[in-house]
Amino acid sequence: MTTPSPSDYEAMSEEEVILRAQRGDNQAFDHLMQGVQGRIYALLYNMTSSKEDAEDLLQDVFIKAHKALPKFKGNSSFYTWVYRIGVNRAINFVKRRKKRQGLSLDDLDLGIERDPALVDMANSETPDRAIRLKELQEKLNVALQSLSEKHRTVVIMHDIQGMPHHEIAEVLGCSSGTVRSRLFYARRELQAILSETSS
Amino acid sequence: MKPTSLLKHYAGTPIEELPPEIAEQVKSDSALLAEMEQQAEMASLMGLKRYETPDEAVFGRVQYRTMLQIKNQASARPEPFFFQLPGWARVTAVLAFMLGLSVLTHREMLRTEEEEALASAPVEPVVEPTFPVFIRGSDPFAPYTLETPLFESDVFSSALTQQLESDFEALGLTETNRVESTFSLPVVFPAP
Repeated sequence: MTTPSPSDYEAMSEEEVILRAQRGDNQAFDHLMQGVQGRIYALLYNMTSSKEDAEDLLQDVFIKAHKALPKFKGNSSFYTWVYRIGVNRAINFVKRRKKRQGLSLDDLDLGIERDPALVDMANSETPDRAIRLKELQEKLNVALQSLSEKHRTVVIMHDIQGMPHHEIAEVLGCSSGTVRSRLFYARRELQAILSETSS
Repeated sequence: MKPTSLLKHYAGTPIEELPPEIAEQVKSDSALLAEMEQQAEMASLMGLKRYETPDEAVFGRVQYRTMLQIKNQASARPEPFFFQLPGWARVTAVLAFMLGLSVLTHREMLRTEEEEALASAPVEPVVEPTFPVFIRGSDPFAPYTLETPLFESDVFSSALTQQLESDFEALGLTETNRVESTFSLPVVFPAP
C-alpha cells in the first residue's frame, strides 16, 4: 500500500479513507480525526465545561475509535459513529466526576479570555457589554452543568450544535419524540436555574 | 393539537417558523404563547455557546498524542490469547475449566476402598518373552533349529481326533498324507 499525501485523502471518498484506516493506514485515520475533531471537542467541552478534560476526553475518544475501527460496518456515517463514542465517553466521565466530588465552580471553565469569537464580539462593543457577556457565559455553563446528563446532551446537540432531532435520536438510540420531550423539560429546567441565579 | 403535545413537538422553534395552523393556535392561547417564547429564548441563549471556539493548538496536541499512543500500542507486546478473547468467551472458558475440575474431583472422592487399594497396589513387572541366545560357532551359517513350545490344540482333543479317525475309517477314508507333527522349526541362515 503506497502512502498517499494529505491532498490525496481529500480526493478519496469517506468509505475509501475508512477502509484504508481499517487496514492500518494511520494517516488515513488522522485524516478522519481532522474531519470530526471540532464538533466532538465542542460536545465534550460543553458536557464537562472544562477545556483540559475536553482535551483528554477527545484523545480517549480517538483511541477508542481507532481500537474499534475494525468493527465499524458503515451502517451510519463515521461522524455519527465517533460522535456516539464521544457522547458515551462524556456521560461516563461526568457521572464518575459527580460521584468522586461535587462539581465546584472552580472546576468550570468560566473565562472567555481565550475565546476569539466572544472576545471579538465583546471588543466591538463597550467594556460593560464584555462583562455582561462573561457573566452570561458563566451562568450558562453553571446552568448546563446542573442538568442531568441526558438533558444536557440533547441541549448541547440541538441548541448549541444545531443537530436535527432525527440525528440526535440516531446517536442516542432513542425516538425523535423522546429527544423533543427531553429538550422541552431541559429548557424548562434551564430557565428555572437561570431565574434563580439572576434573582 | 393538545397544548402539551404541541409544546413538546415545537418547543424552541421561533413562532415565525411554525406551520400556519400551529402558529394560529399558539397566538390564540396566551399561556402557550408565553411558554413557546420562553422555550425559544432559552434555545437561542444556549445557542450563544456555539461561539466558544477552542484554541487551534488543542487539535494539534490531541492528534500528536493520539498517534503516539496508537504507535506505542502497536509496538507493545501483544496480549496473551486468553485476554484477546471477548468477555463472554473468557467466562465460558473459565466455567468449562472449573466444571471439568469439579467432575474429576468428584470422581476421586467417589472411589471405593477396593479401587483405592487397587490403584495404590504395586505393579507386577511384566515378564518379557525370552529368545534363544545364538552362540556363534565356527560356522555362523550352519543350519540351526529353533525349539518352539509344544503346541496343544484346544479345538481338537485327542479323543475327538480318534473318534474322527475311526469314523473316517468306517467310511473307507484313510489318511494318506499324514504329516508327523513337529514341534521344531528348521531355521536356515542362508550364506550371503
